[in-house]
Amino acid sequence: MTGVTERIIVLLIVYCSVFLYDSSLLKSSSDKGEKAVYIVLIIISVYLSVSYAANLNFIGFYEVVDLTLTGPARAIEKWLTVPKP
Amino acid sequence: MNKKETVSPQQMGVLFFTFMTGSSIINIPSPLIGKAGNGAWVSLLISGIFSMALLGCMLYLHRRYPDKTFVEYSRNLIGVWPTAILSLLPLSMMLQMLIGIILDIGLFMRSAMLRETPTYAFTSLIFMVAALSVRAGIEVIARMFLLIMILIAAFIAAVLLLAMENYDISFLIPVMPDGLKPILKGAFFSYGFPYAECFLFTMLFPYVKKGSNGKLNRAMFLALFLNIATLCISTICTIILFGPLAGVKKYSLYELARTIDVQEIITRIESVIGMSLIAGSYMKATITLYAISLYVSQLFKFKDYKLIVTPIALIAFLYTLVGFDSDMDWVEVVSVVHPLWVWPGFILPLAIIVTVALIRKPSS
Repeated sequence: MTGVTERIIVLLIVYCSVFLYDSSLLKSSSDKGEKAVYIVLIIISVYLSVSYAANLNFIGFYEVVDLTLTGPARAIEKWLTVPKP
Repeated sequence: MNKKETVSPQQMGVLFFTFMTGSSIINIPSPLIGKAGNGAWVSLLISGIFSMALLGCMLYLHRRYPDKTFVEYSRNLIGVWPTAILSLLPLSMMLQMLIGIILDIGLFMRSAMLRETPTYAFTSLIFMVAALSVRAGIEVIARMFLLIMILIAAFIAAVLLLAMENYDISFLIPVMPDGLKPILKGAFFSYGFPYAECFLFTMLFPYVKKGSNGKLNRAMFLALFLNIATLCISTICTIILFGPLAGVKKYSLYELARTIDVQEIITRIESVIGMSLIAGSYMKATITLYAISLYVSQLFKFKDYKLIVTPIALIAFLYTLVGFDSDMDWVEVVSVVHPLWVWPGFILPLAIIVTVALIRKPSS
């Protein structure tokens, strides 16, 4: 099985499980806000799914963290590291 | 907030102990010894003392606002929009925690037990079970986790006792051969994982039965004390078994279990530690997913958190697949970035809210 096919099968199984599991709650929920947030979260998941299936490395929140925190974190790590003789 | 569900202060204490000890007892010793050397247990004591201060702040806020979660009282104290903006920090950190806890299971299984199996085979199942548990509610979680935690504690205690014949106390000294810096490095690391993560319980305290503040304080501090003691014992046992190699072994408690050989009858029991890691991580992931779902639902003022549980689990699952280019990339995030990330993620929002709460007088 090729990489892309395997990934698409994994995604299909996961999405089917999620929608099967959530269908009863979605039908019974009368709160439009809840449904709207649910849809937004699913859209975010689709963005990540496309990135996974096509191996595209889209920008995610780890890239933001990398930009802001990795530099200072490495500096702290270096400062606390005792050089080996 | 869903008012129907309540747990006793003792159950909250058990949940707290489970959350703090579940995965860290296996994941902490090796990297901590790698950073702090023989003084790893001193690092744990230092970070443990700081976590008591953090827990004190959380319990103070709960005493001031017993019926409210962090989102609800920060909305009262600083307003709706500042709360929404500030929430980006804890939410990103909580998502990182959820991804990390479950990815650790997958990486452990792939590196130690089932090398040819893809990581998603483990992570997807754990996410599914965690989502189901969160949907069942906090009462079910509290009852179930007590039983699992007793089993894990028994397994780990048995492994540490059975390995006793291989221990060499002389490996414990010198405690600080390179001075204070490695100890501080270890304390900084262990404060990030697991101690600062106790912030999540600001979302769970309102579920404790009313009028039991004193009991809750006792239960929480006792749980934290037991957690510090458990992690110190597990770290010390690793040091006195492996000596200078303790920091090099990837899953040191797992490796420790491999050395057990009692009369050629009790041998090869490392799978017991593997099971404990899976169960411990599952429990911690469940509590984290529960806290995230509550946080998001209260941010948007929903009546119920249950509908958004699975989409959040789905996003976290997909991040375990696309978030990192390699295992080394992930190791850097956990051991270098994570300890710093908890400061803007958890400590800063809590410090802001505590400061505003101290300045503002309680309303009658």
